[in-house]
Amino acid sequence: MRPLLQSSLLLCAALAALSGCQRDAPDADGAPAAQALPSANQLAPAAPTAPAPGAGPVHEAEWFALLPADWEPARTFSEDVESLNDNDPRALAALAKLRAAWANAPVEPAMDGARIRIGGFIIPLDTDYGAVSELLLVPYFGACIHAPPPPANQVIHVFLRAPRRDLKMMDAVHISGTLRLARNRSPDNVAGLIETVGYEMTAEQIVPYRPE
Amino acid sequence: MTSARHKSADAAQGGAPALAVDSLRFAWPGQPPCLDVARFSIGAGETVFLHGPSGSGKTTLLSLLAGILLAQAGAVAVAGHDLGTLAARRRDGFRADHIGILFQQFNLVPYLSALENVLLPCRFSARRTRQATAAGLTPRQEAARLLGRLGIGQLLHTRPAAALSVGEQQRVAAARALIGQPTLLIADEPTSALDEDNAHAFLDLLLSECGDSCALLLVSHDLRLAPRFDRSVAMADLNRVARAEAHR
Amino acid sequence: MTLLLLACKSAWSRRGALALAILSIMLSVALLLTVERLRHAARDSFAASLSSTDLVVGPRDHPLRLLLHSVFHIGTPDTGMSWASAQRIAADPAVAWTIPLALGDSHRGFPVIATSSAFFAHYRYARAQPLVFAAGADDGGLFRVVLGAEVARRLGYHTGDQLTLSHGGADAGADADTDTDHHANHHGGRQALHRDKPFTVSGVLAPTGTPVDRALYIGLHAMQAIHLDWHGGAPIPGVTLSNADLRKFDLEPTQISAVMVGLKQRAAVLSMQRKFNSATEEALTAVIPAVALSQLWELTGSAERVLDAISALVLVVALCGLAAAVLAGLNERRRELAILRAVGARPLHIFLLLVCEGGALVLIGAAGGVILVQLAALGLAPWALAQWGLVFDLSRPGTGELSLLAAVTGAGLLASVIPGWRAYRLSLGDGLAPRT
Repeated sequence: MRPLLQSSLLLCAALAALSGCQRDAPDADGAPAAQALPSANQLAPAAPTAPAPGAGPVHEAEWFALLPADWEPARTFSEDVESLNDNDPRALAALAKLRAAWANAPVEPAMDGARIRIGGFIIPLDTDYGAVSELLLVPYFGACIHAPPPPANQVIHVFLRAPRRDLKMMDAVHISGTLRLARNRSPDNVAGLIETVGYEMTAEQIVPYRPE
Repeated sequence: MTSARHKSADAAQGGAPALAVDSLRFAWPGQPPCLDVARFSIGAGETVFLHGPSGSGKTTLLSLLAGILLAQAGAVAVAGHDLGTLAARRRDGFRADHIGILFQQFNLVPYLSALENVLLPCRFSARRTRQATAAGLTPRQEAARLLGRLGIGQLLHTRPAAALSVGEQQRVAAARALIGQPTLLIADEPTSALDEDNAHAFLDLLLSECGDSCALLLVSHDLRLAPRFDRSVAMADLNRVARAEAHR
Repeated sequence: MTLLLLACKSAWSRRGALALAILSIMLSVALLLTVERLRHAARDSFAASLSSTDLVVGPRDHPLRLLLHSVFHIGTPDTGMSWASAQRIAADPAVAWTIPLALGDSHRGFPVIATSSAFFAHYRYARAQPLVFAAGADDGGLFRVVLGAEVARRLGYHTGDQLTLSHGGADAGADADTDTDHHANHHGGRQALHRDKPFTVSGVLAPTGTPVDRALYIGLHAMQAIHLDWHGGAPIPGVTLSNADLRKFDLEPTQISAVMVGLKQRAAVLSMQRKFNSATEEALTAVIPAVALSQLWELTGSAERVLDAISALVLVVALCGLAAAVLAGLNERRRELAILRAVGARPLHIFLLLVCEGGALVLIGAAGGVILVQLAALGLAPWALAQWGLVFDLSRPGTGELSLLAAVTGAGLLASVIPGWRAYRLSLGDGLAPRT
């Protein structure tokens, strides 16, 4: 009698608790079982061989830390651009120049191998059956919708070891991992000419952004 | 009208009487009182025959004695415990432990087998389970033994209750009421649905199984059964309300 | 015997009356699960259709529209982009490879894509899987066509077969009979065929589970060639060009529908997207496929939530039906409950008995619903494959499904409280003689 009542109430409580579980909780291995489709040659593009999670603590990093101290692209402008009209051809030319400078922005070598935790917004790049496996982390919202793209040293190319279903465009997150300088891996890159072209990172932990 | 054999109400066999009723009064909600009993008791192991016409309040009285209904005034004590002092939960548990009940018909849960029906009281009473297994048998074995003594063949034990004849059903019901030696067995017209031969045979079995350990209160309108009991009581003598009506 | 076992035996004895209620629960659980799985399967399949592609560039258009017609062959583009722009993009130092695409023709309901050999070299899907030939190869011939797996299977084509293309969209008359169409050159309402320019199947691709399976691939020069003697969507009367004549013409395409772009450095995609979007030579739209799909799911999100709400409502209705069925049957069970009370059951036991019964019935119904979904998955998947060329793996349980089923059972227990309470009250009032 009493044990039965207790067990019934326990069962109800357990069911209620289970039903309260998040339905879209991030699943560690969200990828489905391999579909029965042939894939004779796996010509996957050379993703960086993901090193084992680094040892040592992560420290909170600001985006400014990714900028080399001596980089000032605006310094190259001779004219007083601020006085120009937006449609002035000189302004357009200056804009194009700035864009080029940003696209080729240098990296800060000291950040290579730094273990950081940095907050930013997500731009998904590639998915594994709907689970984001590669993304760009940018410092501000709307970086490819209605705002100009950030310079190359303010973008981090993030690889996910475990693809995540719950991430979507412009989600604000904190990502932890080891920052690396991205090398030019283009097939027609002349061997020996190592050109660093930005930052990349294999994510160890991604959590929703919480202002501290 | 009392029978020749009259056992002392305060049972000489030791211990409290199986049943002791004192100044019992009961009324259905919104109705005038239908039961008013001054004194009534049954000794341990005593068999009492209660008779009266329909409408005299027999079934209501049985419900009160079984603790399913609560009286507005007075005391009903089974095995020395006043049912009125027990909380509702304890009362139900007490009934499970000490009282067996036999209806006129529809005694059994139709979708359970005969054995499962007999085992039902053990499901709800640890005390009856203990007493049923006192001789070293499992509850199931004890149930089978009882059924055997009441003339239910082995083959019928696992048949669903609905497949048995009325006579067989009543005997299974008797086994259920008797398993684990309750203090008091209350039977409400148990033979009224049986033909004469079956009725007598059934009563014989019931009385022999009750023996000295289980008191029996049997209610019936069939006066021919009265001589087999220790005592015979008329409802009109017991219930002052019925008496008042009879004299009107 | 336990209360649960008693409840099950009791329910089994009344299975006729309860069967319909259980059936409605089965169906509503199946609906709930199907909606969930469909949503995930659709997303997964759409996402798996294209991989490792950094940008899709096309004429100025809504980004989603561009993606839908270039990758999924859904809808047709209004305008095209110039070949010059495509060449400019390919020549950009940051670009590693491009796949130009031109849509427009069809063959018996399947879209015909004109593209370069780069398509077979660089197209990736699912987990960066490349395209593989099941038979034949891309022999580079002018009038060669490569078939997607589904096209070859459905139309029964093999390497070496010949076929004729139809001008116009794939939905303008599926399964047009190529041999007996006498009005092949008549424009206006009927499909117009390129009857004088048959194509030869040079290869068949292995199945991919993507829209690639449902398309035919010809060369860009071939696309140009078959339209040389056409004007405004119809052949020019009196003008026929033999294959020999064709060699004298410049078969460089003038207009294409879109270009798929792979960059040397993936991280540069943002600035490259900006660059192509603000090209002064032509109004273009550059789309990051994963971003566009993400936006698509935002759009469908509210519709999905409505579907979820409706399914949940259907379940609630089914649970109410079950409670009503059990409640209606309570009257006949008053004897049964009185017997249980007589043998020592407390009113609480009666309550729990009814609740357990309801919970067990819902659990059985839910389990039946899961089985129903697995069966439906077997039937639905081939249809989805046939319609859109997408593989819907509906037989795989989603991650939240177990907790969903637990919630359903919990809701069933809750719904059973109503008949349980009624039985509780009845057993209190009836005593030994239920007034049935």
